[in-house]
Amino acid sequence: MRVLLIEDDHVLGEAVREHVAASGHGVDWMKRIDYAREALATVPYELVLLDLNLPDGRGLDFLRELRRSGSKVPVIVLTAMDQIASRIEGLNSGADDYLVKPFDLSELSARLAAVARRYGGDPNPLLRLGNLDIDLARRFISIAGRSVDLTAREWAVLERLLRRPNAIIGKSEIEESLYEFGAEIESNAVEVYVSRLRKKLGHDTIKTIRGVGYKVESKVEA
Amino acid sequence: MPSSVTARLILGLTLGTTLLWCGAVAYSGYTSYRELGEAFDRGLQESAQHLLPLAADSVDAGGSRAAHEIHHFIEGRNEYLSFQLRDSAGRIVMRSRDAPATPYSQMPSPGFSTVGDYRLYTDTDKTSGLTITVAETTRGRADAVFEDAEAMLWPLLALIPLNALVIWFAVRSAMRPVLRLSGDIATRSGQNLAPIDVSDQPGELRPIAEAVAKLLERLRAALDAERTFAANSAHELRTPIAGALARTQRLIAEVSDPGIRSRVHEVESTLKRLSELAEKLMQLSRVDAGISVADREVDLIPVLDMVVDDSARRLETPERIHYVKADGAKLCAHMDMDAFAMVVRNLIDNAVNHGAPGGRIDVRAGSDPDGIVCVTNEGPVVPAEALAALTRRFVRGQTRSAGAGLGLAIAKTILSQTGGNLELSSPAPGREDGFEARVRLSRIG
Repeated sequence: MRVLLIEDDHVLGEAVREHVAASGHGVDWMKRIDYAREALATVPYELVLLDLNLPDGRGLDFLRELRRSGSKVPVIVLTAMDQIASRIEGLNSGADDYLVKPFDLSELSARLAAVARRYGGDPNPLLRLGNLDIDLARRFISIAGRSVDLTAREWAVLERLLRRPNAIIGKSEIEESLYEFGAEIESNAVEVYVSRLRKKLGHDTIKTIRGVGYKVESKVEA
Repeated sequence: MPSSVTARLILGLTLGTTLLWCGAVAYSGYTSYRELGEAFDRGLQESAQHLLPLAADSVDAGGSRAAHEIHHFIEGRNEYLSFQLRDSAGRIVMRSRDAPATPYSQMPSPGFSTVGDYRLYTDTDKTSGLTITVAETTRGRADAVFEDAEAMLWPLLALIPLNALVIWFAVRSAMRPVLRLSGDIATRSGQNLAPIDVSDQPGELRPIAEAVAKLLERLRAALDAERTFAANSAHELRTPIAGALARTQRLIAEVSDPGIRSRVHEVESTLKRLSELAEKLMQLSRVDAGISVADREVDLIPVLDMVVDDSARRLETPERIHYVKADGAKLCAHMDMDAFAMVVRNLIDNAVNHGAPGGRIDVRAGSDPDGIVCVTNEGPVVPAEALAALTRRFVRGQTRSAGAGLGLAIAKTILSQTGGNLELSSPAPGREDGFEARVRLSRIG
């Protein structure tokens, strides 16, 4: 998932960026609203983490601007203001969730996953795919009751495909959700992760549509 | 002396006007006494001058017609008048019926004189040598003066209460702006610092009203500054703590050496304690800055929903919290949303930190019109004396778990500021163990 982090505090921003990247997501970190605006215009982000007090404006004004322009990208507000009124204002301005600083990074992960799932149209974190049981919230997967370890990048690829089962996801789309701006992407990175996933989960789990992309083929059951 | 200005004015004015009136009556009594005296004297003199020739005639002629006329004249004048007619040897040759047989005075000087109870006028007929002394008792004059004074005094006495009433009305209406101003000032408090209307104050009160308005303005600015500072310092403190905590958690994720890991874990838990303490101190400073009371009635159910949801999501097992709202549960009070959120958050934190580890926590919103919220947790019974001490600042129960010992004190302070109350009971009602915190909001606020 490609995430835009808008946060002006250097220490917190760095830690959040690292954490989200370590979960296998591609993160771009902007410290100002105007940079964030440019980034949003060029990259199809799947999630925005938004601080409210930024050097060039209020985060909530930016959020309203975003919603007015028709953007439906999920937004989680990260703020040091815990007043209920500002929180209600945040939710009314179109925030999907609200996390008051200081927060546990594990809580951030949980909220991130929950919001992403909600937008994927399936708020249920437990999926069954053939003989695979997948718990997206806890990042736990098992084949016929035997648990399988996946790396963060492998999870990110699988999540990306699972979010729209039966749809063909282009290679570049997957790449985009894995890597931030300026990251060096090896040309065959996606192929490598897909082949590792097939090795761990079974060859038929992910289908290759030659020249177009990949898909997970299944009726996803609760 | 009464302390009310109105009463002092009414008393002073009534007393003053009454005294002035009495003075005026006394003066006019004195004047009329003098005027009357002169008039009576004139009457006395006229009577003597009228009687003397008649009396001389009747003595000369020994005629009874003249004597009859004299008596008739005397009786026609007034009951206080009498006379004696003496010859040149001083013997009384004639006197009126009620005149004494002895002379009024041995050697009456001509003209006016006063002897005993009598006012006398003496005149002598040069040809006959007869002397007449006409006498009038002074009692008659006094009666006349008193009658006069009485005629003025009675209406005056009747007017005194009427006068007091008029003064009362006048003072009351003059005092109305003062009462309005003092009423205006009385309604101002930490929660209501609305400016005082200076424009329609009378001239005398305007300086006071303006001074109060300025004072309120400065007070409002100071309170605003304090509240803003409390809110801003929260922001300023939370951001670096958040950064440090997140960095530490990243470190835990990255280091593999178990020794270093456990030390970094210590740093993490210390940071969390610091964060919690800072949080509580910020809450305390906001509460002390007086944010608790809202100027209108607020529906607090959505706030309760939000806080319970938040608290649950922070737990490893959110299912620990059982949240039940009674049918028709209503939580309306003149209470700031943040203040109420602090109350509930602190009670839930308290239940999480000090209740049985992993135990069930019940949050119930009652349907009582006062607005009731109960937070109940499982756990050992807290002794009664410890229970009473829990709502004091920096007092913690017999526990080894985290906590600054401020949460319940903050909740209690907020509730007492808003007219509600906090009841702690252990064991929880209807159970043999556990702890219950029961919040009652105030309808009036």
